[in-house]
Amino acid sequence: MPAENLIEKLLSLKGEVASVPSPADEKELESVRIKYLGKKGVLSILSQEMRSVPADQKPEAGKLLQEIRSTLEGLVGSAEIEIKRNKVRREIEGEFFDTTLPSIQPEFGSAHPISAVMDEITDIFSGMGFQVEEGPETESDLYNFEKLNFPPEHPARDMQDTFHLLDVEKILRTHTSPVQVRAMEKYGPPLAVIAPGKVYRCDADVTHSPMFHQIEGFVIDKNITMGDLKGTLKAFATRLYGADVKVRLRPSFFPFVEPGAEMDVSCVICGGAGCRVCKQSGWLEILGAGMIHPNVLKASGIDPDQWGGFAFGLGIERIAMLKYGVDDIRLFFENDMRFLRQFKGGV
Amino acid sequence: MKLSLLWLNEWVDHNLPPEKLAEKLTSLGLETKITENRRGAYKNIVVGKVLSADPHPNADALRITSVNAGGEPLKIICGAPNVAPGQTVAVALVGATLPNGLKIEKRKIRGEESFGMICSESELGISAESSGIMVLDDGLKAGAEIASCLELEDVMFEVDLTPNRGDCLSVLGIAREVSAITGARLKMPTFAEPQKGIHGLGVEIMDAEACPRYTALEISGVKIAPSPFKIRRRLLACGVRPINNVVDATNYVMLETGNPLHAFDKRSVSGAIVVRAAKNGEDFTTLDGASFKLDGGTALIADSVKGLAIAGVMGGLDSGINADTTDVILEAAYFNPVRVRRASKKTGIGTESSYRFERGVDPEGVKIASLLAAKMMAELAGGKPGGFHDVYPKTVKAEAITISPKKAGAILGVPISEATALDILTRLGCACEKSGDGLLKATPPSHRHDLGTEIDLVEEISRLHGLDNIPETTPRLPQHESSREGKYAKRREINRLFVASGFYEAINFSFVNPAWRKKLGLENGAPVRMENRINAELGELRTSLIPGLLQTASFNLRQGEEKVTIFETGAVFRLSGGLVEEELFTAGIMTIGEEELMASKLGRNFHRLKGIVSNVVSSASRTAPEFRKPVENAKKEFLYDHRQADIFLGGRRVGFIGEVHPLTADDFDISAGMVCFELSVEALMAGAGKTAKASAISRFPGIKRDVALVVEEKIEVGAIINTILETGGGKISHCGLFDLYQGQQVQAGKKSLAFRLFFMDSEKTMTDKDGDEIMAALLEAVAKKHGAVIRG
Repeated sequence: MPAENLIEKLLSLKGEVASVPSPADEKELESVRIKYLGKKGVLSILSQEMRSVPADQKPEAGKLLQEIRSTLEGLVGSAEIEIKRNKVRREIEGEFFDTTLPSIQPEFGSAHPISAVMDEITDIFSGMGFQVEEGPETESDLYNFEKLNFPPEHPARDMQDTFHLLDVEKILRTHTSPVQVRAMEKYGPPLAVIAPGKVYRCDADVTHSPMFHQIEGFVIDKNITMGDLKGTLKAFATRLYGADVKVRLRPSFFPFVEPGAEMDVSCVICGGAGCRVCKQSGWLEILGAGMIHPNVLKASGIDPDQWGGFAFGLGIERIAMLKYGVDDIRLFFENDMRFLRQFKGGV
Repeated sequence: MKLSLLWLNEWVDHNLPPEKLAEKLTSLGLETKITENRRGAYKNIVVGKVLSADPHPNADALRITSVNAGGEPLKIICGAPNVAPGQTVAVALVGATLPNGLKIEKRKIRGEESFGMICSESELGISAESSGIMVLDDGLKAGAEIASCLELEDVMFEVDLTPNRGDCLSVLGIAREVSAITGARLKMPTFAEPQKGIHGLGVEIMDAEACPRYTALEISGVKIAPSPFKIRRRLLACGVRPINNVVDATNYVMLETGNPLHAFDKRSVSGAIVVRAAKNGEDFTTLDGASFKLDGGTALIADSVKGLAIAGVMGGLDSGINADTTDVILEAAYFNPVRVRRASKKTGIGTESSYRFERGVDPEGVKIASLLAAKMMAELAGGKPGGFHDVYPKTVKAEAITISPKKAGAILGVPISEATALDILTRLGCACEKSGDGLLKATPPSHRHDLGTEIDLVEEISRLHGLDNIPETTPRLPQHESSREGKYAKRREINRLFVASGFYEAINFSFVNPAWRKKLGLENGAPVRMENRINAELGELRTSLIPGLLQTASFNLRQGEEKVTIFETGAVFRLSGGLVEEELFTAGIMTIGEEELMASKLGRNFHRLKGIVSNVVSSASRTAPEFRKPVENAKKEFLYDHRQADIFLGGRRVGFIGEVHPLTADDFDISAGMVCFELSVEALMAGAGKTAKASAISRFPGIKRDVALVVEEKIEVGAIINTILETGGGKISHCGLFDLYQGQQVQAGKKSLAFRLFFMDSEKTMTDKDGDEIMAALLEAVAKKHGAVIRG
């Protein structure tokens, strides 16, 4: 009864195969493969016996044979993967790796802190809808003073120590305010402009540099109020210093605005409690502002009965000094790499 | 301006604590800080009478004194050389704390007990005087609190005044503001009408523009002496040096009312007093001995033969008050602010007087000031006022201003009623009347020269109404064309690209030392020279960013940096046809670390920088730059002769790049091998706004070929690459140099160049046969043009 014999053999093989343990290494794997799946392996031998099986039993024997083969192949296949993975795991396992070794960095420089602050502030205002304008650094008395309502020989000119040039009737602009007049003349109303740039005053100590940076901003439209000025500056201060910042306006004087004011923010160091930086006052003065003087509008060809506006100006260095804790303005213009490097990667 | 609270209180009734007062004034636009608060600082310091002063047995420099300080005589050891019996002094009793923090305790000094301390002015915090004890007026009673006797428990403020508020440069000026904000009563003194000066002295104004009002008060019989302590203390506290009772009276009243006064010794005045313009070149010597040749426009107070004072600025050397002066002519006047300012600028003399006149004094206050000073001179020096000459031909009168409270409200963004406006303006001393249609007519007081137009009154209303009471609103901003491709945006883009390429941004001053430019042999246009400078060396505006960067590199190398990689973007200035041309440039400089010295020897830093500049330019201008050898006479002296190139963009020269000449490196004390570039940002903007156009990508496979060519060593690689690309008829999509070899393997004077080429056809698959054809054409072209042969 060779046929019964084969089916029995296959059934017993099936039982045997079901209990073959998964090979643990390549050697075991190889011996399983040779024993069962090799050319002279068990399956190969039993396959040959299929020829002598009666036709009615062939399907059953064939099916059994196939089941056993796929079980074995599954066993061998998954063992193969597992052995390979275990091998990699073993290789990695014992490795010593030092994550604290110095990084290999691609060369990366940094923006100057003054540029960074100037860009940050410009972005705040352009986000509100102000357009960016620039003006010349060498200016005429007309644009730097006269059109801004500084009468000739007025003591207000003493507020700004002017650099005069030889060979030309020009000065180095003492503020970015001339851009107000230039932009008004260029575009006419309505207008909302932010004007960043370099300015110059003949003065030098730890808080004054003969060259420094300002941002001028102004809006001209119908029905602009001092309340609009307050709201705009409050929004600016909030974006620069966060929602907790408090602001206050104090009346002040700049010839090109009236009413004129200065804006203080609650001290960014102590939060208003009083410290060395705010001289115990809890407040830091950060900008000058006011309603554009009718004389400035007139000088720029705009009818002050039709249009009005506000303007403000702030010194970048002061804000940068507060922001980065720099107490000597000269550091900004020495360009010492040890200083500049501190602003690497996000200022 | 320094302000004394005790002095202020004499002029206005208010009950504000010092902190509140400072806050109120600040909210009015007079930025005020407390600088010194001496309240309660003089406890247990009393008046004492020195009964005896005997030698100390153990110390030659010390004395044992017995002092009556109101109770039992106290034994006090004193080291002052001037202590003597009979003196009235200030005694700090045991338990007192001096203003400088010193605690007075019972202590033994060289074996002798001491129960207190006799004080000097410095110890009392009055002045710097510390050479001896302070000797007081004998009229003071022993044991009396020194604070009340000497008026020491004062609070001092610093008021930071803006130039428009000349009217606040006095105790009275601040008192007026306090009165306006609190409603407190102003305590103005009143005087009987002075006797008119009809006879004797003549006073004439010849330059009415310079001097709208001049008064002279004759005072006779003064006895010059030091002023009493109270006057001296107030002057000192306000930063004015006490001189004598007559001069002190003029200064005191100036600080008090804001009207400067001047006292002449009557003996020095010959004939009438004339206010006139100086003759051009007229000689004048001021009281401090400085000589001037005056300008024609300077207003002068003169007599019939000579100048007595530069009007409003300073008195003359020979006309002032001396120790033996008995008769005084007291000047009080209103001088034209512009004329005083001009005189002050021309002579370079700035005084408390000129400072006030420049900012505008009260023309109506002139008389009160004169009478106040006369009263003081009577009290302090026994002077008897005589004739008062008041030349005031045309009243300086403010025009009435029409103001619409409604418009004020529209400007401020908070409703302002007619009643509010009326109340505020009246409190500020304006004479107001309603003029119908909701309008007000306000005539500013004579001390407010800054009020001339409606907007000035709007500002006054905003100050008094309070800026805090204006609600915050958000305006809808007008629309504008995008400025994203503007110069500022381009500068930022370029800066970001350089930062990403490893460069640190520097910001150097725009003014430079002309010597730097000369050292570099920079001849790019005439420099703009500066009239005044921050220091003698920085005398012109930069014509290039390079000198500043070389300085910065040198500075950093001296600080021990090994590698300096910096750039700057900023304006340069040139004089051209009588105008200043400003152009925005970007420039950079790169040094190398030790490990890269080899590269430097081969000049490879040039190529490294060229790569960075090429990236930045291509990215910022959307156009690849070309680097061309400069023509012989256009070479830059400060660059290594052969290691320099001009940068071209779209056929236009926009900058240069090169290695710093070894001799320049020496001049600037920088290391060899530094490379630098400079570029016009504006030129890069020419390509701005250009949008890249996408073209189809070939879907057919291409082929790769390598070829090594041998050429003469002086043939430029750039030219060969150009030839190769041209020959390909658009089918060579890439030609890269991957090896450059000179040495034993090639003939002397030749070099081998290895290129990797990629062939591609957009219509069909590249076959080897196609490749061979392109290769053949290419080899023929390079052979013909450059004498190149395939390396065997």
